[in-house]
Amino acid sequence: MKQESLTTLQEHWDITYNHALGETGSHFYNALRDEGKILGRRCPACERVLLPPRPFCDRDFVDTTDWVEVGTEGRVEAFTVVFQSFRGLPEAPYCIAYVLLDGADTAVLNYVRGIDWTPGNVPQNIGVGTRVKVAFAEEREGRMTDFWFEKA
Amino acid sequence: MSGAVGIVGVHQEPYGENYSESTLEEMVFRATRRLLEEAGVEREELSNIVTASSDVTDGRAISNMVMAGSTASYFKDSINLSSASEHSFLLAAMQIMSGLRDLTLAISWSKVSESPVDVVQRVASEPYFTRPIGINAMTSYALQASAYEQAYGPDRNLISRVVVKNRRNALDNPLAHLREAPTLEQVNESAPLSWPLTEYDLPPYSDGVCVLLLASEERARVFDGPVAWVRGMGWATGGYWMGERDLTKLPSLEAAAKKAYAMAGIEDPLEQFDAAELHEASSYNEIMQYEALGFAEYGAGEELISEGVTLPEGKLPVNRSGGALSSNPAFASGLVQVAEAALQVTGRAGERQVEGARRALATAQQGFATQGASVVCLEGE
Repeated sequence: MKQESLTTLQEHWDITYNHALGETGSHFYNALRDEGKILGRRCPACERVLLPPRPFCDRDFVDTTDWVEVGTEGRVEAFTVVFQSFRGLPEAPYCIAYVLLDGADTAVLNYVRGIDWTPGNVPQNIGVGTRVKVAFAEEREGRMTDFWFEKA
Repeated sequence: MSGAVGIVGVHQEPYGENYSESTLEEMVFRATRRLLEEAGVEREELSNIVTASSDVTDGRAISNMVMAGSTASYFKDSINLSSASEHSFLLAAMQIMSGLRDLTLAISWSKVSESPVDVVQRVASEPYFTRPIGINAMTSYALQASAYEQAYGPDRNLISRVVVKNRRNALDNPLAHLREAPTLEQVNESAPLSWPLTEYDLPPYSDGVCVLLLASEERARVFDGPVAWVRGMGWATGGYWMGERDLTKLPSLEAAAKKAYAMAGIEDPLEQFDAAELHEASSYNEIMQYEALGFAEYGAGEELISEGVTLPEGKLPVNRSGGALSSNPAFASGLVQVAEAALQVTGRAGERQVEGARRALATAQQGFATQGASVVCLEGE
């Protein structure tokens, strides 16, 4: 009997979501786009400045109360240089890092740019503890990609 | 604790790269059918079913509806969980402990070959701040490894020896996905994929199904074979925001272990367990788990590797199955660790059996960089 060939059924979804940013997310992105400022939210209980800004503190389970402008320099807390490209993300190699900006108590994730990511050079070029500064896009759209980090 | 709970059946299909010869529904049906046959149980005898699966991986939402026929759930009590595969086991065990149910299937699966897994994982981030930059399992565990490396400066040779150990262990596991063991040199010299992790430091992605049959003490006595008794269970969810966590430690795993050890009466895990199956999301992560589980002080996890403690012939063999570095049915991996620990304490682990293993530990992790974790302590007879 002839061997039947097995096939797959390819399916492609194209779904658009409209996620509400709320007051906190909206204000953060407006200030980033219009004033080139990075704003965190202070928890009244633990007094930490939370970045990205949160409308409430997970730990204390209370509303955050104040906006605090954080610094545009900080310290790398964790990083990875990615050597594999993924759909919708930058061409490899690229670097993402959690950076503790001066004046913030929690680190924020973004790209680190302007550095040679040849594997052999990675340890000389970046590490946990490396000081970095924020660079802003000239044309800002109110998105996380409106800023990134460069070596300070 | 009211009623005791025992694992009376385990079935895993061989883990592999691509189960393209069958549909997801067939794959799960086949594994569940075989477990019932091996255990000598009719579908009608089951009190209920708890399944766990990832809707985005499957491309099927509320999947216990679509999977009802495959999971023996037709006109049965069936609940599906999306939080973690081993949560199906934990809920099933609690249902039996409560006395409400007495013979329960816990089932989890992943057919990762049907979707772009690294892309799909990005949906696990919140969409406002993290998803636009993009992290997935690989990069989250690389970020974790970078923080650990800075804090403790582990010896890269010892990290690589975790890979060599687990991949060699997989040679004895006929179900394992990767059954070729690299040399230490190959691991040390491999190119970075997500710095500081290389391809060898990270699990593969496997298709697979894992099915466990749990029974109350009364029902368990009816089965002929040995029973893996559940002595302790603990689980914890840590904070979502990676930027506020101490990435050099695994606090959710530590919290889960504390609860499970208290329930099981474990005071010195290194002395009291005979085998451990850890859901190691990376080579570094296995060392970090040694520390969170109390096998070693913080920063001293690598000593268990240098002293051979976790080798098959060591005091506490870890990942005798080959672990996730050898077989990783992504979402279902946590349940696999529980299954492998059950096989160890019932003397059913075949070539990968740890001689005389009576007490075993299983761990699992969920979310990015160990946000959540579970610990299960099992004991044989």
